[in-house]
Order: sequence, then structure tokens, then C-alpha cells
Amino acid sequence: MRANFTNTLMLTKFMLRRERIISSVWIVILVFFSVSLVPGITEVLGAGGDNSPETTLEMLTAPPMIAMMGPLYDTSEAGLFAFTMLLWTLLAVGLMNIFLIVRHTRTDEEKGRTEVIRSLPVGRLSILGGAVLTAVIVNTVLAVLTGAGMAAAGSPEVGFDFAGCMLYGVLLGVFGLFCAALTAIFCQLCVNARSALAFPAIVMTAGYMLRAVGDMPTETGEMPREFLSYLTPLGLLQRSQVFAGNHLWSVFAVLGLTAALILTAFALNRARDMGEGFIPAKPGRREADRNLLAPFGLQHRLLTNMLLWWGFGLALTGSLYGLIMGDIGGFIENNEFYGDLMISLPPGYEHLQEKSFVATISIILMICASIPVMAAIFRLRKEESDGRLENILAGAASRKRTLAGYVLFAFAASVLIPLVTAFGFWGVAAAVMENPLEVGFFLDTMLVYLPALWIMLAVAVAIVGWLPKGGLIAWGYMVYSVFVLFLGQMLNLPDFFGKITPFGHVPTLILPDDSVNFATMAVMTAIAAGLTAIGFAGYSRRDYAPQ
Amino acid sequence: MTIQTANLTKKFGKFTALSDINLQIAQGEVFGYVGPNGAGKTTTIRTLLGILKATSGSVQVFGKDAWKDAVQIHKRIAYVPGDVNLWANLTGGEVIDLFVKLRGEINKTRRDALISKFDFDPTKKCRTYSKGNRQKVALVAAFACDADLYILDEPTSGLDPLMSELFVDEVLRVKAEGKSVLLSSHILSEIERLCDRVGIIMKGNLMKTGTLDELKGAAATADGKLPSNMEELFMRYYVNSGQNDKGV
Repeated sequence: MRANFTNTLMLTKFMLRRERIISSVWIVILVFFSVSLVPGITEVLGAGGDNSPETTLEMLTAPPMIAMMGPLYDTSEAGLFAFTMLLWTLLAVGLMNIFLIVRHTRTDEEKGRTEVIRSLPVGRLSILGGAVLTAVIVNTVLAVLTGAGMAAAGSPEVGFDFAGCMLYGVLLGVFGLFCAALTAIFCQLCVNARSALAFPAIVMTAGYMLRAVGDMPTETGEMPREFLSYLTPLGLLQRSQVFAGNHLWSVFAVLGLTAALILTAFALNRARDMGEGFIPAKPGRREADRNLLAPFGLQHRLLTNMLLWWGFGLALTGSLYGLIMGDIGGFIENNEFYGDLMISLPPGYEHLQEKSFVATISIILMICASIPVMAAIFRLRKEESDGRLENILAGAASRKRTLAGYVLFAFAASVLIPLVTAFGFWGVAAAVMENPLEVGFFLDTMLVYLPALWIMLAVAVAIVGWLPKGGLIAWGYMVYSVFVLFLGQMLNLPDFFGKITPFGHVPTLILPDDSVNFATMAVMTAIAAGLTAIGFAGYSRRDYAPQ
Repeated sequence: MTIQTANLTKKFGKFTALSDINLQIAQGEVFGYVGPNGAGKTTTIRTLLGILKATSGSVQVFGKDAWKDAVQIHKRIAYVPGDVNLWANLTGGEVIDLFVKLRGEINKTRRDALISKFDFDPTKKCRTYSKGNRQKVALVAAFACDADLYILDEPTSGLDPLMSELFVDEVLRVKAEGKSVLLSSHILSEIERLCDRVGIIMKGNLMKTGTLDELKGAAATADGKLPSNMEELFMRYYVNSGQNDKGV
């Protein structure tokens, strides 16, 4: 057994060296994100207007908030902090770990680096062992720095006691390790790095959705489907009730699960050959079929599956949120703040709360929809940096036409994904609501995002055309949009910050006299078209730049 | 002239990858392009393919501008890169068809003949292919085309000696058909058997072009000893390139 792990520590040191920049940046950002919001979180949360603390609380515990943030366990400053920040931060930590494990295992294996390492005197499991150990170290550092930083920045009088702060840090670290272990499993099952990244991310998102359904209270405040939350590590960790109960059992439960996953990953790693997965290879096509050789056939092969999965995933996500909508009506009658509002509502204002729920959720769904749209464009860059595009460009395919293929698929996705998401959301919502909303409302709410999605698409095209190594700029812009649209209101940021993301210009259609400003839409579409044209110009001008 | 460059210079930032390259390859000629790693062979080829833009100088293929008319030119070119990267989830057969299709029409008979000649299994996914088998994908795709110019960048790297022999056959076949070939290679015997003329490039400078015998003659030692293999040839020119940046 021992021989399986020969030189694991040396490999770990090597991996940590490779991590010294990437993981440090992740940790600094994550710690800063948590610690900087510790002082004055209530001011931040109450900053939206002149609302009394009670009103703010009522708003925070409205269904869309619970669906996104989970249950509120404590109304102290620290309790509100955990409510607003914990889930989002956990998801970010999860992503960090998914990338980390894939980077050191499947990516290296795919690129042939593992082969070289394995030819040295290292154990069969040393690489996976080293990657897991690296994850343990990175997550421990993250947990300790976050906990200590929060304890230093927060005052125990408003709930930021030392134990709570440290537990908060530990929750991040434990969830990170869980995601690392989950990824370790998929790195054994999948034969390429891309799927090894995608599957854990899908599982993590599914867990997030599942707990949203589980956390949703009925009018009496009970959570009849809470068992769903207990099935997911995110839901379990939230039930440690950090700053309120500080229960440790959930931490141990997730750690136990993590250990089991890691052992399974080692067993799978031992059982498989290097470079292989667990799905047996069968002979493929001897010749290319008509589809591959049709115009844009290669783009079809490279992109369609990915885009269909995203469409399916977002439609499913929409329908899970739809499932919650049956509870919202009853919730409002029992909510003092909204209940009072309801009495004085004139006609046309029915479903106000349901509509606002759909509007809020659609922001997330549509920002998520920009991911596959941009990814389709960046696939072209990936083809280039991996050196495959050379073969295409050396054939009789012009650059403009090649790029056009990717833009075509991204554009189709930008239209179809909002459509299927709207239908998925509406379909289930209509089934569970006593007095269902019309499908038209869902369609309008999603489709007003089209110009914003096109701008994101165009940004990706412009970057591929002019700054082939600047992919991170586009993804950073997307993350910025999420940050500004969700925390911007809470943080009372000036309007300007919301206006420099296209998603900040999308109208909400909740009230009867809300309408779409077609001039704004036209301007946004024109900007998208212009950026795309600029991207095309740059792409047909610049050097081929493999990495 | 099939290929004609005049004072072709390519810079990457401050680094000069190619400096004033003047290359002529006539129709029906097999031209050997030799030089150590990093000398600029692949950069030259990518410039000829119009996927890199020359910093200065002109690059013409079939009398057309390599950058502006890339697509027109590529319809008549078959290209084999030295390191073939393929799509993990496509089979070798699919990739061959894709490459051929991108250049023009598929000649089924020739394709299938080449596949069996090179003893290649086209039904496997590309990620399972060894270096040599990936190279076969590019070779079959290139020789299945009716091109007028074959650009081959270290095409036999990773191939076994038998397969390299079959490759030589194919080059001789296209040569007999009057096609032009640009062959970059480190294998002296290949160059000797195939090439009408040879150019040697060092540190971005085209040191000399001529027949292989002329190149060898120019690199003879003081006592008249000719270089007998690639190492010696490189060494002589390498030493000279240090003393004098242009020519021998």
C-alpha cells in the first residue's frame, strides 16, 4: 500500500509550487470578499432605502431570497452576514477546488505530462494523493485565514464571536475539500479534462438547486421538503447554523462523505489504466458522415452537445424554481410586509410577488445563459491554443468563415436557451400554481435579456479577435455582472457600476406599466453588432497564436 | 514560381524570427528546408500559409499574396504539420475526411488506398493514437488531395522506417505528376533522395540554397572533407553563422 504513495510529498511540494500564484490569488480574493464585508453588514443590507430593520428582514426572507441564500437562522449582524454570504462563497470555493484537482490530474494526463511523472519512481496513486494533499493544504489555509480575518474584523457584540468566525472558515474549507473529492472521482471516470470539470460543476449546481427547493418554507414557516437540503453538502453545512447554533455534526458528516469519496477515487484510480476512463471505447466511424462535412460541421460537432446540455440544465433549473412558485402566494399572505401591501393593490397588480420572484431568478438564469454563449466563442481560441486550428486554416477555410461558424452557434444558443428556460420555468410553475401566470410573461421576462446576451457574445468575439490571451477579461466581466447585480443593491453602489454591465440595462416587467424601452434594446443590439464586427476585423488581421 | 518570398522578415515583439528570407521554389520542384530546432522553419511555413503575417517583405504562393489570398491558395495546397493535434472525440477517419473536405473534394479511392497502404485504423478516437498514427492522419489527408503544392513540416517524425519509406513513395508520385513540394526535415537520407534543391536556415537567416552537393561543398573543411551527415552539416553552418550572419 505504501508503495502506491511513494514520493507523494515531493509531488505535493511540486504541485504547491505550481499553485503558488493561482491558489494564492483565489485565497486572497475569497478571504477579502468575506472579511471586507464583516464590518457594517447591517448598514449594507439596510442601505437600499429608509426601511426599518423589520422591513429589511421581511424583504430578506422573501421567497426569492430564501431560494438563493437558504434559511435565516439568526438576526444578529453575524447571522445576516452568514445568510447573505455563505452559499455564494461556498460555490466559489467549490469552483476553485474543481479547477485545482482537474489541473493536477486529468489535464496533466491528457497533455502527456503524467506519463513523464509516472516514469519516475513515484507510486501509482502518488499524483492523485499529491493533488488531494494540495487541496487539503489550500483549503486549510483558506479556512484559517478567513476565520481569523473575520474574527479580527468583526465585533463579538454583534455576533462575530471567535468560535463562529472559525466555524465559518471551516465551512468554506470543508466544502472545498468535498468538491475536491467529488472532482477526484470524476477525474477517474471521464477521459478528458473538459468533462472532468463539467460534471462536478453540474453536481454542485444541482445540489444548490435541490437545497433551494428543500429550504422553501410554506405559509406556516415549515419546510416540508427539508430532507432535500439534508441530501446536499451545501444544505448540510448551512444547517450548522453558524453564528447561531454552531453545530459541528454537519461538518463531520460532510467530512465523512469527503473521506469516502477520496477512498473511492483512489480505488478507481488503481483500477484503471493511465489515460483511460471507465467507459469502454468502441470503434467509431470509419468515414466522416454528412453532418461533419456540411458547412460548419466541425463547429456543430464541437459545440452542439455542450450547448444542448446547457439549455437542458437551465430549463431544468428554471423548472425547479417553478416548483417553488406554488408556495409563494401563501407565503405572502402570512408575511406582514407583503401581506399589508397586498390589501391595497389595484387591479393589474395580482401576482406581484410571483412576478418579482421570476424577475429576480431570471437575472441569475440569464447571466448563466451567457456562459455557454461565450464558451462557444472561446472554443475557437481553445482550438487555436491547442494547435488544431492550424489544420483548419491551412485548408480552404477563411478566418472570417471559421469565426462565423462559432458566432452562428453562439447566437443560436443565445436565442434558444432563454426560450427553453422560459418554457421550463413556466411549465412547472403553471402546474403547481392555483392561479398560474401566463407563458407570455415568462417569455417576455427571459427574452428582454437577448440584447445583453448578444453584448456578452460580442465581447467574446472582440477578445478572440484582438486579445487572444484575454479570455479572462470576458469571464471577469461576467462575474462582475453577477456581483454588481446581486450585491450592488445591497452594498448601495452608485448606479454607474450597474450601468457598465449589459445586464444592468435589462428592464423588469413586473408592474402593469413596466414596458420595454425599445430604443435601449436597439442601442444594445447595435453595440453588440459593432463589437462583433470589430472582433471579425481583428481576427482576420492578427497572427495565428498557438500556445 | 510556386513560392516566392522577397526579404521576408517576421518579428515577434523584439525577437526576429525570420530576417530577409528570399526563397524561390519553382513548379515541379522538391525543395528541402533544413535547419536546427528554433531556426525558423515552421515560422516560414506558417507565413507561407498566411496564418502568420509577415512583418515586412513579400510572400507569394502561386503568384498570389499569401496573407490576402490565403483561402484561394489553400485550395491548391496540402499541408502536414510536424506535430499533429487532433480532436479527442473524433475518429481518425472523420478527421481525414474533414481535412480533405476543407481543401476540396474527397477522392474516396485514393483515401482508402492510402489508409490501407499506411496500415492505419481510421475507426479509433484520436486521443488513442500514438504520435506516429496522428502523423498518418495528416499524411493520408494530404496525399488524398489533388494539390499543386505540398507543404510538409517534419512529416515523418514519429513514423517507423517502413512507413517513412511509403512516405517517400508518395512524394515521388506527386513529384512525377509535376507538383511542387516544400519538405522540412531533419533526416538527411530523405532530403538526399527527394530534394532537387535545399535551403539551410540558422537563427532566422537563410544561409544558403542550392543542391545538396553545393551545400555540402560550401561546408567542406580546409582539407576538403565534406560533411557526411546532418550533424556535421549543421555544425559547420552553425559555426559559420556565429562568425558571419549572412551566407557562408
